[in-house]
Amino acid sequence: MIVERLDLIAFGRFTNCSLNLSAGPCKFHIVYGPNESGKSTSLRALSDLLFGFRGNAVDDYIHKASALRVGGRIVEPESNTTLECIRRKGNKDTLLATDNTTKVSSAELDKMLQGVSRDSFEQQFGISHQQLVEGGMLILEGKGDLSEILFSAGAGLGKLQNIRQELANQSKSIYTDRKSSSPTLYQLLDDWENLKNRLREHSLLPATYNAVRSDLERANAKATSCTTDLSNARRKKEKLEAIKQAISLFLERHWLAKKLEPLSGVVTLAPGFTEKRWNLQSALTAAEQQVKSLESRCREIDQQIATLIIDEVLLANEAAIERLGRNISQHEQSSVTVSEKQSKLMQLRDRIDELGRSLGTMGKAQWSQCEQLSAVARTELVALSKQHSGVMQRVRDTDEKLQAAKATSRKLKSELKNALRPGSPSILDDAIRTVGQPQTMLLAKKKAEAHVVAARETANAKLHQLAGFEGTLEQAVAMVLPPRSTLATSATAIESVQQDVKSIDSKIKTATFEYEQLRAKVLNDSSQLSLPDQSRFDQLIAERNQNLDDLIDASSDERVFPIKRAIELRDQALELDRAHRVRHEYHDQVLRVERDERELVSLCEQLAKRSEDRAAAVVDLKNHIDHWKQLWQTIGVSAGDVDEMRSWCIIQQELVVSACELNELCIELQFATDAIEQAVATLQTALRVSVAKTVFRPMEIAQTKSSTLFDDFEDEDAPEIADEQWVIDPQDFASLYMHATQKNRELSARCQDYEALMNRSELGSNQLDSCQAAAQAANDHLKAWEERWNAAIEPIKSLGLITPESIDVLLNCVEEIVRLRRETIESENELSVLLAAREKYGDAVLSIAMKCLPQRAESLDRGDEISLIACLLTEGKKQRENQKKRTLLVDQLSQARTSANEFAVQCNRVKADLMLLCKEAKCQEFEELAECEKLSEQRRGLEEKSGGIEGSLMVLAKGQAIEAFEAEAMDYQSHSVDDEIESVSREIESLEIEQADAQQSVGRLGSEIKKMDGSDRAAEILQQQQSLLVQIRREAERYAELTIAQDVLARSIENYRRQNEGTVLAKAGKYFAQMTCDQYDGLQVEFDAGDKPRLFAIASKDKSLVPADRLSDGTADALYLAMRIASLDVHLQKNHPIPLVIDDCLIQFDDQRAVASMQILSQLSLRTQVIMFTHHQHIVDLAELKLMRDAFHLHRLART
Amino acid sequence: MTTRKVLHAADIHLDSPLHRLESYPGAPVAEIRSATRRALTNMIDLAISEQVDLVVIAGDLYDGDWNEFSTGLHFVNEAARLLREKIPLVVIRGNHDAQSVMTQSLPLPPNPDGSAIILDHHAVDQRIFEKLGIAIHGRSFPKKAVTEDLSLGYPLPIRSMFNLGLLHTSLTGAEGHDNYSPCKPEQLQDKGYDYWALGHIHDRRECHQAGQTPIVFSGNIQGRNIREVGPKGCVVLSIDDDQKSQSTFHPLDVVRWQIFDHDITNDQRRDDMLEAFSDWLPDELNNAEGRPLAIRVNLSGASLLSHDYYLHANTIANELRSLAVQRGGGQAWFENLKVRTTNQKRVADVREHESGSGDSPLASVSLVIEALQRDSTEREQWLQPLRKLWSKLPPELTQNELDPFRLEDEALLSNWLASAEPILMNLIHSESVK
Repeated sequence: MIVERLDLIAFGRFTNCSLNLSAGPCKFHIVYGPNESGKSTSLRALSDLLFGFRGNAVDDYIHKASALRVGGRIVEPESNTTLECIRRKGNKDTLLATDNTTKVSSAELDKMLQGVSRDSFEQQFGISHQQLVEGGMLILEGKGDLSEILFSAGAGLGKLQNIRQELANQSKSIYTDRKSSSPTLYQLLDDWENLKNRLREHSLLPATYNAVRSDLERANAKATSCTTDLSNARRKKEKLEAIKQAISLFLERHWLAKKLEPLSGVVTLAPGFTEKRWNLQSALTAAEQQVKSLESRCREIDQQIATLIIDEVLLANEAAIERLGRNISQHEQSSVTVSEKQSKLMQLRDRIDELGRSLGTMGKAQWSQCEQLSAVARTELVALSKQHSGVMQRVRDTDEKLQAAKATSRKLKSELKNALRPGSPSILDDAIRTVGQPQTMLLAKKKAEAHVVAARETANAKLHQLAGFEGTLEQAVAMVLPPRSTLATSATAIESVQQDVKSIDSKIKTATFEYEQLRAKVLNDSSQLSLPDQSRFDQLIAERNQNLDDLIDASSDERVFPIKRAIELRDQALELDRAHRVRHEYHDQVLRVERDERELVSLCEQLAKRSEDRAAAVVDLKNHIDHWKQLWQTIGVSAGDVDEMRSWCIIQQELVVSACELNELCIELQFATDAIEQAVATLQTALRVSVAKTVFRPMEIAQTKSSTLFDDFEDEDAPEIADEQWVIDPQDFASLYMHATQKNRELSARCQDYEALMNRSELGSNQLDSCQAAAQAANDHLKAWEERWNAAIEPIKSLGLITPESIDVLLNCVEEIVRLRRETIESENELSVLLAAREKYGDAVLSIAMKCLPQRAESLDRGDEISLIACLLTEGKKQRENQKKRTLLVDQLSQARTSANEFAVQCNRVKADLMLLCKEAKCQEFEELAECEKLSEQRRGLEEKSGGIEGSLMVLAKGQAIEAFEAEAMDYQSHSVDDEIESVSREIESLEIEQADAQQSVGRLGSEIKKMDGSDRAAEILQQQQSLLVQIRREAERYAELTIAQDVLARSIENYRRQNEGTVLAKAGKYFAQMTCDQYDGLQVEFDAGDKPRLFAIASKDKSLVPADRLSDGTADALYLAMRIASLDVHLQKNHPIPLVIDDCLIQFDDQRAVASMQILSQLSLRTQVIMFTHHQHIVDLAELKLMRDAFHLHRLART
Repeated sequence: MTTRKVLHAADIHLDSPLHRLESYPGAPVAEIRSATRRALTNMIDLAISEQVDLVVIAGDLYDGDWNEFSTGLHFVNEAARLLREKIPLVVIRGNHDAQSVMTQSLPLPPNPDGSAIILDHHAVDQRIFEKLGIAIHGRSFPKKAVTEDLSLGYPLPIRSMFNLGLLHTSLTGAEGHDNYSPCKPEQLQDKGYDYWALGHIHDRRECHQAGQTPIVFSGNIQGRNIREVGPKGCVVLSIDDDQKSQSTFHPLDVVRWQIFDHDITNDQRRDDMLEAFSDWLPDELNNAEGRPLAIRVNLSGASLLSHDYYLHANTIANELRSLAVQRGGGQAWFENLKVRTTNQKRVADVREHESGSGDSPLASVSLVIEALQRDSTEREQWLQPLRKLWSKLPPELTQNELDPFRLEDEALLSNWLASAEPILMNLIHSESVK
């Protein structure tokens, strides 16, 4: 895939900018831009084009996020596919066609990207300065561990160790063997234990429940028993207390029976008898008083009625009088209105007379003419009078302009008549424009010639580089190489066998080294020890025993310990021990030598096997190499080794490309030459036509136009132009071009002057026509006005001379008189109506007054109706009040008489009731009733007391027969009852305490049972446990994933090394040698004691191996870059190319290494596109100075 | 005789918790509380409102060795409600509550006719309800693992009565259920009963052909884990004079389990899955008729996005939780996210490797993982460091009968291996970006 063009349509600081990356065949593009020039923006744009905008775009500070656009042209050379598209910011359908609207499927682009993600692209196909530094550090810090270096370089990683560390940290944050660091899982497990404890606390075990239940049943039984006993005791106590009370009551009962005996004949009156008697007597007295009072009142009312007199006639007309009274104010208002109307009528008549006088001679007949003039006609007259002055002014103005235009037109016609017409410059102008700048064409031709020479040199140089080929350039270009797949298979086979041989050599070397070491060790171990023999042992034991005996003998005296002898004995023992040790060591040595010798034999066998393998591999290698050479021989090439022939192929391809380029450049040169020839011919022809002079008299133009356009004549300034072919000399071509340009300028100036005069003349004629038309229009307007005026004044023509100035005054005066006359007629009508109404009202008043108050009516004058009606109203009111009073008195009299009769009836009824009471009390008169009541009351009191005692006894007996109860009570003595009560009370108190205890137990146990109500607390905790288990499980899973990830990483690193070690290292070695300017020959792998492969650089000077971690910082950086490029190179062998993007990674290198690196990149760019961004001018300078012209393409971004 | 009604339920597992529901802010914690209890209450309410004549429970009233007496007391309270309405109750013990302390020591109230609620476990027991014309034949499990066929001892049917066989059995076996009291449907048919009310299998299913005696698993009344999805409840039989019955299913569950399966093969971006989930959720909530939903999200299919899903599994799970809170209206509980997708990049890398191309370091990671997925013998060395941790984990997790979390589980190891890839890729990418 190649990005041929990057369009920064609306991205960052860019608007509609393009980066053309299509040049080839070396596709190495250096994009230079100082700080703030948009270098990083371009880098981001490239990623965004291929993979879409990131979510957190940073390039939307000028263009809105929704308007961000980056586009480009992407080509897949393998399939010859091209995709031109625009990427917008968004989540879906972000790929658009070049119209910025049509959605484009991303399938094509995805196919080109071959599954490479943004991360992979930026990582694997991007190299930055920081990566390079970190990669160098990785080599130095990683002790040259080949596996890590290979993996990091291949993946574009800086610090692989950081990944390992991060995995370890994450797993430790979840779980470690040590609890002290309190990772997450320990916290969760603590929570788990807490929940388990809570569950135990809230669980209700069956045994607990059953125990509480039994206790409750027992407590219930106890409480029930206490309640029964207590109830019995209380009943007994109540009985005793009743007997105690009943004894005194029975005594009182006997006493009352004796008191009632004398009153047995007295009538027992009902309880309300006395009150009833009092009420009847009071009612009788009150009724008698009322009868007297009412009779007196009847008499008074009769007298009042007799004094009242009423006028019936007045009352009969009362309604009519009131109606007239209501109209008094209206009548008074009417009188005032009549006066005002009369006054106004007088004023109107005076004004009409005054206006008539102002018109002077105008009589009534003329007024009627004016009145008949319609409103439309009057409006027309007014409008016409206003237009009059404007119409006259317009006629005067147009007349003046017409005179002036005539004078100007005459003058310009005269000037044009004397002027000459020049020839047209357009032919020459077109020719000059078509030809263009001669310097550009000449420069292009010169450049094309230079390019042809350079391309030819390049192609020849490439041809010389084709070692083993003796043909010409054309033969080299036309050469058909063996099939690529055949070559690749053969090369892979050779490399594979070579790798095998190398690997076997390495193993032989290691095994030999081990063998030598082991052999040396065996020899060393086999060296004879001075082994003590058996006699020496016997001797040492005898000496020791002797010394021991001596010591025992010597120590018989306990006071003196033989120190010296003891020391000797110790030394002997040590000597004996040493002898033993030597024997043991010898034994071990023998065993070790035996084991090592076995291993030596094994190593020998291995070495023999390896040698056999190597021999077989060498034979295999020779066969493959022969096949390889044969392949090349068929096309006449004497082949080198695989790498040489790969380079050979690249050179051959480059040669083909160079040849094609040479061919294209030759064609370009021919084009440039042809273009110049064509330009000279064009200029010659144009000059020949244009240098001729032509004179035109303006008046003759129209006559000559149809016949001929030119009349040639010689120009004094024109150069002589030969008829023969123009010689293509740069100087002549330039002179010819300059002469044509000068001539063209002169002709243009003349034409412009003449055309200006023509234009002015034409303008003058046009203005004259316009003035004439305006004058005619003004006159026509005046004429039309006059016709309309005459028509308008036709109706009033008889009034005499009527001018537009006098018509306004006349029309206003006539209009005012007409209006005043209309108002006069209306006022007269209104006045007559008012007078008739006033007269009708007076007649009505007089008629009623004659009926009701004839004397008063006769004495009054006509017109005094208001005072008459007031008198009638006053009199009517007085009669109405008298009538109301009499009605009221009649009603009162009737009521008083009725009441008096009712009270008389009541008196009789009360007296009858009193007689009934006498009968009840068995007496004759009302006065005896009080004594009867007194006796009756006495008897009732005694009976009630006796009844009360009886009731109390019945209550105390509680259903027992009174007589039986009396007999039982009388058996007790009062003091013995008290004693018994006290005894029972004590029993009750005791029982109450027992019962309270039992009930408390019941309550407590009941409460406990109630708490065991089947609540869901435990179940809830169980649910919480489930939630916690999920968390624990999740953390454990995460820990497992991290643990496995660490293992997978280690395996992946090793796996990658195994797969790519040979191919990548071979290439990296070459690149490294090139980058270090042959300071090092290449790279080599050695295995350390732990069988780990370590990387070494081979120093050119003495072929010594320098461990990778001992290289200088800069060289380590170069090594990392070499490994990166080699990884990409290997990748390219198996995959389609993806552009490599380099971000200023050469700034650490010195000039020589930077140039070497760029040369490598340039070579690489023959197979894949390489885009290097830099903001260092010296890198650009180095490229321009040291690299071939076609080896790179420079693009400069301007600073904002 | 008028139509009689019998309510058939089973596998109540009272107070058994709902599994794998991790609490999080916004989760409807209150809604799942005491789910099995509330489902039981729903069942009693249904029995009363439907005015059924009899309730039968075909085993596993309680959940195993859970001996919290409050659970039993709760059942007593609920049974008392039923008995107050003069509705008899007949229960057999299943494998889970055969040896439960509660069924052995908790005194249960007797039925209105004085008979015991729980049927005997020594031999097949009977309850004959003369007025209803219904005879129940059943036998409780005497112990947890009953491997013999208990149905063999069931007696002949009683004439002119509706004979209902109450049995806890795995029938001919079912995935995820122990094979207890095995028997064949044909054997049960041969008994000549009118209805077989079975328990043990938690899915509702009918094991008879058209026209045969109904052999019905009513399923459990409340799903307790993600394997027990969909409506859960009981069956109400309507029995006519000819002893023919018609059954109607009634959902009783208070929380419903549901799985959102999504194939990422055609997804363009991660949000496609989230949008699909947002669209799916309201319909499912609607189907659940106001019940809260416990939702598992399963992702499958092969895509380049697979890596993204593994990598951001936690983030996606949080987004799904958030969606459940926002769109669920307090009724949706996100249970878990299971990413079982295939990394298309890895497939491509392996394919390239096999064809001789490819083999970048990142492809090397894919290849190693693929090799380890194929060859399980290499996994042994991971177990050593993990065993230390596993020894400290609660047995309730590692020895859970329903969902054991064991290192020996090959599927688990395979999943962890699949998750290791994005972890590494992420670290490699982030390290390179630095």
